[in-house]
Amino acid sequence: MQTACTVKFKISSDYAEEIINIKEAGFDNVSLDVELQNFEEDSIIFNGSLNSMFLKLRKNNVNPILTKAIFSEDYKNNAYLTLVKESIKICSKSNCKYLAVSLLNEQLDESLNFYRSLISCIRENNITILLENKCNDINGHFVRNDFSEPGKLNEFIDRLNKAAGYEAFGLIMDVGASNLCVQDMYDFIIKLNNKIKVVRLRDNNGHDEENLLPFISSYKGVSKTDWLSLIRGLRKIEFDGAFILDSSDTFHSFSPLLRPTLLKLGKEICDYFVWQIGLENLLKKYDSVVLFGAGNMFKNYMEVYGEKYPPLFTCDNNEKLWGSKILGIEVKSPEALKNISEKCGVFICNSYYSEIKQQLVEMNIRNIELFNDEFLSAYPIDNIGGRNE
Amino acid sequence: MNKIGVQTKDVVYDNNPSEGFLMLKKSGFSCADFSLNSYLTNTDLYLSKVNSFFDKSEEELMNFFLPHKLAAKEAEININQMHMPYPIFVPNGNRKINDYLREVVATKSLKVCKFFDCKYIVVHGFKLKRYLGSEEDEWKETENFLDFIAPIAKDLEITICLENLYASFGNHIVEGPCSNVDKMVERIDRLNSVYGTELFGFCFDTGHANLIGLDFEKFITALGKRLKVLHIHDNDGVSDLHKIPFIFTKAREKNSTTDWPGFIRGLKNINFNGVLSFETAPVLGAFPDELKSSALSFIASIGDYFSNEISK
Repeated sequence: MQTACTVKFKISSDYAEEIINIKEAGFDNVSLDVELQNFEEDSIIFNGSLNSMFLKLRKNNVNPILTKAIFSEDYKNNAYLTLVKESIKICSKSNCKYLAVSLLNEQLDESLNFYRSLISCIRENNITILLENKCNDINGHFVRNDFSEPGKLNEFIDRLNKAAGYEAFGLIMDVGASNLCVQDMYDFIIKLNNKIKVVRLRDNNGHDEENLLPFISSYKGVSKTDWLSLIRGLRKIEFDGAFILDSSDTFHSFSPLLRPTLLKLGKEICDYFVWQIGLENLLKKYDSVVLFGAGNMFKNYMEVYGEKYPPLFTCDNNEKLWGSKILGIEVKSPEALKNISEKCGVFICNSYYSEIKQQLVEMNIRNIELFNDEFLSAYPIDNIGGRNE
Repeated sequence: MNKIGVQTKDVVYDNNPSEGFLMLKKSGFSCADFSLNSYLTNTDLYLSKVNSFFDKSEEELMNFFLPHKLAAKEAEININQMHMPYPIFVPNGNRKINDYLREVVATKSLKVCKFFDCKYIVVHGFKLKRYLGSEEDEWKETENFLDFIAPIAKDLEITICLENLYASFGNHIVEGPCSNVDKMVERIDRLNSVYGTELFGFCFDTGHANLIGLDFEKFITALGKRLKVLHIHDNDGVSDLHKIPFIFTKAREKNSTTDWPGFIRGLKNINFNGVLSFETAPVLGAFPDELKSSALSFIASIGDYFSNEISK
């Protein structure tokens, strides 16, 4: 999985400092959101500006993995089609894998011919065109449309790929749009599966078009975006695409002096999503696992993963537990970790990660991993509805 | 033209049901949605509090509701639909409560429905997705429950109507049970095929649909003849307010934020000839008693408007 930061690219602006900050925050990749505010004027200098931007990125060892062209123009205009084709060529020369082409105010079926007309250009330039889920604004209230319905999107992309003869088209999943029309993100992801190439990470309050840092929008400690369904879904499909952080509203509300720190937090958030989604892949990596911890997180591990990835044992710093069994698993002293195989992973099932990791590092234990129960695939309730009584 | 109905909650009271039904008649309604759920409330159930109302024997329940039945008849109000108490499964509740809800409350609700000669009862699906991990696993639990009550409903010739719901954690609304129309169409058709009759149908709730951004026209059109009853009400897209349609606006132009034109188009598309039933009890609670009748008349007039638009 890759992570990238969004750069809102306006023609003729300078982005030198922004690119440096993005690189220093730890991002090796960016997504360019290109805005043409005045189509007639901006389109003339578009190619030159885009090329220039790609050069700046290369100079700073930052890779553009997605370019998104935001045009306020009727897509049936031939000039728009020409611009999109030129964008495809420029992206190809700059090794930018994906070009997002979103049409304004369109119905799925009406846009079919437009996308089909791009196929030969896409093929020649080895670029993947990405569509994006969206919703309708009814007088300030967001509702679903064809571009929100996973079944329709899936079928549409299939039709395009069939016409192309290969996987020329895919999808950006915009978490913000899904949140605005309150859709079940898990179901959305399962339906679209590996057509989702990129996930656009942005938060909002569920009612307004906002690009906030993930986890920022909350009420009394509860997030206003259903991150649980997102993570569950991406984990289920073993998502291996790119996360693109789009938090422009949060960034611009902070002083420029604080933005570098915010970018670093943004990178850590992206890495957190990568880690959460890849949790089961981590477990699969090892021939066997042992756990560290005998509390609630251990119990949650056992409930969700205990059957598929049974631990050889668990250990704990509480001596009183040594020799006992919890949920059929023996609790041992941490010293027992010194005798495990090289192909065995040690998963810390305790929220005091740093201290325990430090302890294990000092013991020269290898293959230390962190388990987490914040976004489990299921939340076991003891005795759901009294069934076990 | 469609008949117009409204829920009985906050209008029809046990101590004098005649007064309430006559008020409904005078206000322009010909049908009522009997709020059986008022006798065992969701707020109590989520606290695992169960009152003794459904401990009454069947005969005692019929005697209790006889005045209501007679009052409705006298006022020429047809009780066309009813709401089973909900939730019908409490995830954090014990076995005793959940068995009671299934075996006593659900069963007796069906009997009360039959007593009122009411054809449709609305049932809520189980809210378990967060615990079980997927909507499919959640539906399996709901379907187990439906399989329990289905033979009883079939025997009593009652149609069980599933309702689109929302769920919430904190004050954040998420999609709830029965909100995916493609899945519900398949499930209703499959269950009806299993039971060999149109035992299952759907209740479209406009307020819940609005909260989770559903496209009214597409949802209703996809449901087709499976749509049997309605819960019509409005909200601000944030909370489940159960208010009068057209009230909420947001943008400068001050047009309604709820897609009422889409609602009408959907019903037209499927030639809906059922009752346009409003679930707007909180409106009556908000107005002073002196204005209750006027508020009801206004709601009925909105129903007439919808009916006219559908029949155009």
